Amino acid sequence: MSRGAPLPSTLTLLAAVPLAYVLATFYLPLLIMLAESLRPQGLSLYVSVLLNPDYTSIVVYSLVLAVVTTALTFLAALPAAYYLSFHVDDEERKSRFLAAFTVPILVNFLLKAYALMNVLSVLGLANTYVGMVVGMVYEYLPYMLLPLFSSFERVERRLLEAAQSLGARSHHIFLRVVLPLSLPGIASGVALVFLMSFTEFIVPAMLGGVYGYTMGYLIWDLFLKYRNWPVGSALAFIVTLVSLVIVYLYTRWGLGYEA
Amino acid sequence: MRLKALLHGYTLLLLVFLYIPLAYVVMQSFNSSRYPGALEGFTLAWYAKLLADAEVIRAAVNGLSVALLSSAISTLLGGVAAYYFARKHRSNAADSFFYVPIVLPEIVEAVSLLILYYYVGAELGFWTVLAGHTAYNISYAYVALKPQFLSTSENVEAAALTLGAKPFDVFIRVYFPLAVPGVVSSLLITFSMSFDDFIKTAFTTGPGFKTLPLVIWARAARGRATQDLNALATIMIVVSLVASYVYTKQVFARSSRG
Repeated sequence: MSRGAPLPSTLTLLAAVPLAYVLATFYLPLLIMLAESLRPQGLSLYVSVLLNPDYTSIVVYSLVLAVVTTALTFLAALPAAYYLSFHVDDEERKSRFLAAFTVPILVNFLLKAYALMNVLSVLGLANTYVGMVVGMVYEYLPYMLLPLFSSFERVERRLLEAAQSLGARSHHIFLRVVLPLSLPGIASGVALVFLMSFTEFIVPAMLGGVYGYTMGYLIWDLFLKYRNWPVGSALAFIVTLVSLVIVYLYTRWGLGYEA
Repeated sequence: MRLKALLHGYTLLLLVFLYIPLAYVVMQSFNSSRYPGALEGFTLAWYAKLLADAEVIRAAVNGLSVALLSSAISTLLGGVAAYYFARKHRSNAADSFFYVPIVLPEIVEAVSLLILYYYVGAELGFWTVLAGHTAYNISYAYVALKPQFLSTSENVEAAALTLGAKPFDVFIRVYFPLAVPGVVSSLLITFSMSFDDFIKTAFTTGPGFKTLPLVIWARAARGRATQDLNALATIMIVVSLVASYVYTKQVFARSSRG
């Protein structure tokens, strides 16, 4: 009954505070950043940034790293998510497993990279490309596993029984029934990990050595080292657009896993 | 069923992969060897060294004060917004409004805030870091709290109102207690987002105001793991493990209740 009924005006007034706060400290800065990127020479700065191989090579390098990271994280998470959803029947055990995969998300990101740095140096992999990729997979694995798991959970089990009784082999059931039905979770995990790894700064900087100069590092340097704010802003704005498009696409697809 | 055993083994291996680096750091922090490596003996010396390290203590206090304030402010503000929009019919636009700060790469938020601070002439330090953390924390609080408020049945509220409760009482005595699990997770999430933050802090802080991630960064970037850093890491890992245990227990208890 209350939903739809007029809300008290004091509450409306109060609710305006968080809106105004987020506007002022999140949306307004984005606009100022856009203005900063256009300040010296308008849109032609974007053209020159996008035509400058010094920048584009780093963008492409980061894209490749993000694709590699996303693919490996997906492949690493898939069997475990599948196992948890389809082969662990005891609910108690299932939630213990899930908790074990969730907990690392809540451990400080930088600290995990540091911890891994210890182990990688023992293995002689510190400051190598392989070490950096291991670090990326290490950090992002839970972010891939959890959405995969939750969409596996939503697959109607009767469909699998139907497929089985119609004579489908188990790998066919997986490829033709389970995977297509789990596309929402796959898309959400892939989008999430891709977005985060594209601009990742900590892991490449800490574990990648000379291989660690990625998009995130470049933006970092343009602001804090070279003080080239317009170019830094332009790159950050491009990243913003790319991120929003990716997020829009996967929510539009009617997938909205978080919501 | 061989497949099942294989998958089981693989899943366990994956967990080992996730936890071994953490375990390694914890183990090394008690190792009396000067540098991480072969185990030589048990010691608490690195913890003693850490406690005597003024920069670390200062950074811990800095981080705690920012995180406590930011989690309180953002849970309050995010809570108000969540309550308001949970009671409105259409809140898709509001949801997106609060969702964007969560999905946008942090480095973008960080540099744009730095530009804003520069143009308004803010002096970088405690307040600019606090304001920056609170910017995204409000969104996390909103996301954590809105489902709670949505699930509080309107009938419960109607009943309270019929029985003569004033709207304010309804909020304090009905909505709020039912939302406590959400409030707790909101406080935990926003606290750890702030306490653990590195990139946004690095961009919005000034000379003299460091938090623990900045200290770890500055020292680890010298390319070497050290034992006192391992001791610091251990303390932080243990704290987050405890916090996340509380958090996941609550989340999974809630979800299994339906």
